[in-house]
Amino acid sequence: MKQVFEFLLKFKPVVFEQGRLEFQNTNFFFFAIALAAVTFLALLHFHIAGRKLPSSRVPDRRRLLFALRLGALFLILLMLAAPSIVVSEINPRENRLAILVDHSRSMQIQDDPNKSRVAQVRRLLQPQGAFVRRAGEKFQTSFYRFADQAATQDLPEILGSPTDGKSTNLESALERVIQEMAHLTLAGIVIISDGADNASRHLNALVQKLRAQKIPIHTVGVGKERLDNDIELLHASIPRRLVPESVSTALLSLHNRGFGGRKVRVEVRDGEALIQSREITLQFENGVQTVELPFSVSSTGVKNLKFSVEAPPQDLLPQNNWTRTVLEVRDFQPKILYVEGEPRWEYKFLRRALADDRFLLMETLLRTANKKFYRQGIESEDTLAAGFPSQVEELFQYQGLILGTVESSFFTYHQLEMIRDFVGKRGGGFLMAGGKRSFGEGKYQNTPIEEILPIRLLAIGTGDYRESPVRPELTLHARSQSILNLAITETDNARRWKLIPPLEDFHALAEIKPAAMALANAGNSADASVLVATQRYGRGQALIFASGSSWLWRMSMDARDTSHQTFWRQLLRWMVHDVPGPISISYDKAQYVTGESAVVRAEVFNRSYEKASQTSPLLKVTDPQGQTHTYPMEWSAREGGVYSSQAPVDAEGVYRAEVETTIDGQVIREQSHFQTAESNLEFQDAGQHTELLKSLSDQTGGRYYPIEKAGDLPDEIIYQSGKSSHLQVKDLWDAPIFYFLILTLLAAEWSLRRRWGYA
Amino acid sequence: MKSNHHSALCASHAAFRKLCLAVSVVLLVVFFPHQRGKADLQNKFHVGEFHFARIVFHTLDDSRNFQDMPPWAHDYPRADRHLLKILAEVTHLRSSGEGYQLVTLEDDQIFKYPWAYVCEVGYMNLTDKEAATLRAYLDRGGFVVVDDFRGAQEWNNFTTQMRKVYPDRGFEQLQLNHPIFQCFYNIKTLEMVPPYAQYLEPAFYGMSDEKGRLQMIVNFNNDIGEYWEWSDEGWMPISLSNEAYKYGVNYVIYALTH
Repeated sequence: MKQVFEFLLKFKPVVFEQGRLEFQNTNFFFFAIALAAVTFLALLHFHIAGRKLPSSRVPDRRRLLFALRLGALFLILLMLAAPSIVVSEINPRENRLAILVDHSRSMQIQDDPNKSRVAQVRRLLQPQGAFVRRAGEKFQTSFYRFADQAATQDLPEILGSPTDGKSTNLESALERVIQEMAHLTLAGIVIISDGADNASRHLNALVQKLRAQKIPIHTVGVGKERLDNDIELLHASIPRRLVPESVSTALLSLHNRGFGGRKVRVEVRDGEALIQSREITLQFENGVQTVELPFSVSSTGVKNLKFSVEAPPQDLLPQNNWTRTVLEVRDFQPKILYVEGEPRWEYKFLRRALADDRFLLMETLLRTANKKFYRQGIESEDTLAAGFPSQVEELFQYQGLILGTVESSFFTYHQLEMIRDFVGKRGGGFLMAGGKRSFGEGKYQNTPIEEILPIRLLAIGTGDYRESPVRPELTLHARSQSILNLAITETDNARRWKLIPPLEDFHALAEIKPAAMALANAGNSADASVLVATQRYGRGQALIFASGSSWLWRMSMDARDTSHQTFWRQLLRWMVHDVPGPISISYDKAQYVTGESAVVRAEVFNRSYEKASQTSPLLKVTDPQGQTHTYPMEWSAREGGVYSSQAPVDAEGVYRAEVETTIDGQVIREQSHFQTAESNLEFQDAGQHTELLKSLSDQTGGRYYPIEKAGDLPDEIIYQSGKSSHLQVKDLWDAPIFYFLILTLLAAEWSLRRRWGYA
Repeated sequence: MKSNHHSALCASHAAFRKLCLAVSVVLLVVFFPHQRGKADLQNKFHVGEFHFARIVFHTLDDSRNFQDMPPWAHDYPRADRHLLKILAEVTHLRSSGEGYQLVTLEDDQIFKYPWAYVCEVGYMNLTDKEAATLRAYLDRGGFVVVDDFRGAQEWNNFTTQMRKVYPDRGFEQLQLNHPIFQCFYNIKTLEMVPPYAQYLEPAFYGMSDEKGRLQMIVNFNNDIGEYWEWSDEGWMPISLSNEAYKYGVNYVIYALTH
């Protein structure tokens, strides 16, 4: 098709794309003659046709014959107007062309049955091949090999060096080229890559810079866009921090192409030690599914967990079947305040369930009589001495808050607002438990607490407390989360929940809020009330347990059965496991490869959890060898209380990041961990990233070529304006297309005349 | 003759009716508590409320002739009802005066009542089933108040029965600073005068589990429930009745908080 186009119009399509059409004979005289000729021919035609064609179809035939002649005449006139393409063309050998060749590991992928990506590139770049030869004729070429960084190399060196880069950083490679070519006439940059950029941070800004400098990026895409026969573990989602012995659920995102219906095992390991595994069925022939893998870690410390999915023999890329993530298991002992409005068995047995929990601290405030409180688990005699906290600082020192059966009027409005802010602003965990003074019975309608709750309350005056036996039924959400897990494995968990005796009371809470998640219902009927539910509220987590009779589980089951204890520990650990402190640390990436810089971001709050923008935090990064480097953190003008800094990571292993600052005269610090480890980044999402490559070209005025068509590139990219270019006028009047069309029109006109008997 | 015979028959019938009536009265008097107990064994459980559960147990043979009631029923139900009313009055505890309940150790109903009262344990004679149930009850978190017994003989019987429950668990005397005496009312002294047999020295003992959690409190040489029972009759000094209620309230609050 391209050849036909070039034959008919003399030039390649790119000439028409880059150039502009002009007519060389555009004076008035020419147009006057042309107009006179058209008029004369029209008059002549109508005169002759009017005499010779008496039939009823005469007007149609006459018009057709006239149109054919007029068309032919128009084309001749067009040729006489001397059409031409004016295109800017660079001067041969006066411009530089930087050719960047991807040498990251992903280029090893053999997604073509016959050859790998790198083999395709080597074939294109043969020194005596058309591409290199023609590029050399038009440009002064400079070759770069790049992966995480770029390096100038001769072509033979590039062809001989291994493709072993651990990451792809287009931004770094382009920056290197711009830097080296700053004083040269750079006509363009050619990137030969699969486009799997996984390390750039500000690529778009750099692309805009190139666009402004009118340096086009031409891209040559290598590899298939979609791999066949590949199972890929896209992501493993787990909390960053856990307390020991708590059950958590990892959510694994699997992309499966070509193995639908196959059974495979997923597992998690800490080093070599297997923590948990389970068999799953791959659901789709081509799609992403989420798999839950409940697991528990008993010992404290920083765990470098490896999640993996079994690779069938036909799996094209076993390298992308695993991922690593850092988990910090520590006894950080979050503190929970439990406020109870009356002495009751639920209070006793909840306290008992947490009594010897090493990882949760619970302080309780029990109203035993009017204006009489009984405090337990308190740190000092002063703790809660005046009842429920009336100051933000006092309440916000806790990580969790439980309201038992206590009516809303027990609190002042200010305290109710504080509780709402405790969840939304401070990021605390909140639970409302059932009872005769909870939920609607406690008149929480239209209070700040109702905002937090994951359910809607019935109208005031509509009692929602029901005293009736009811079985807790887990929802599908609960089965995919670890919040209500009584055992690690799915089978054991289901068995233990079946043994749980019925509750004897519940609240009629049927309507769950849109963003909330019901974890258990009171019974399994279609209109069953919500028993356990949760939702994010601001920075925190809100939960409900709409019953006050879980103590019956403890009293009705064998003394050795730990279901009641596990239920509460698991629920409350989950509630507070991720409650942020006054400093929250985050990173720009889930994991790093050596040679990169980790961007560490810290959000800093004061004791009232207002964002603290008048402080100067320091970042201390301890590398795997134990050496600590300190970096000042810069305040982000865009976001209050946010500071960031970069720390280079040069060694493989787990790094500890500690942020320290002084707020209100008090030194506060927080630590977190990130890792640089054996990486399979290059094999994740390993198809050709055509969109990215096309976008780079489109934004800078360059062109995208699949590698099979990259041979045209040297001849096509010369049509551009630049520091060393000239305008070319390419005549089109003698293009074969005109002769072909004129002959066709005249031949048609003649043959029709013959057929109708007028010739 | 006929009329005489008829008269004789009528007389004998009348005598028989009298006899039946007398027997009925005796039976009613003797077994009334049992009948009443059976009626009260019917479940009155409400999950949101506090209940006074009184343990019904098997007794030794020679305890049958103790007045007109079995030993476990002493002071029942007035003591139970009065304590419940006082609890509702002075605390925020959810309780009605009718929330008293008889429970046996032969079925699982007792597990709905984590606070239980047992008296006259000097006459207790637990079966294996009863001992096993009591052990399970305590292991799961139940709390037992033992009251109304005295003297070495009754103590010995009680400890013998408890060895059936826990062969290796003993009792320790509780001191005033124990939280059970301070958790609601700050009780000033443990010299609680018994309502009778005041020549005996009262003492409070406790049995705890392997984690040190108090499971049972024993009012030895005393009868606190007697004060509760008669507190509305003026038979007991008000001040002592008040003190007795303080113990009772504290026992309940302690069980609900520990």
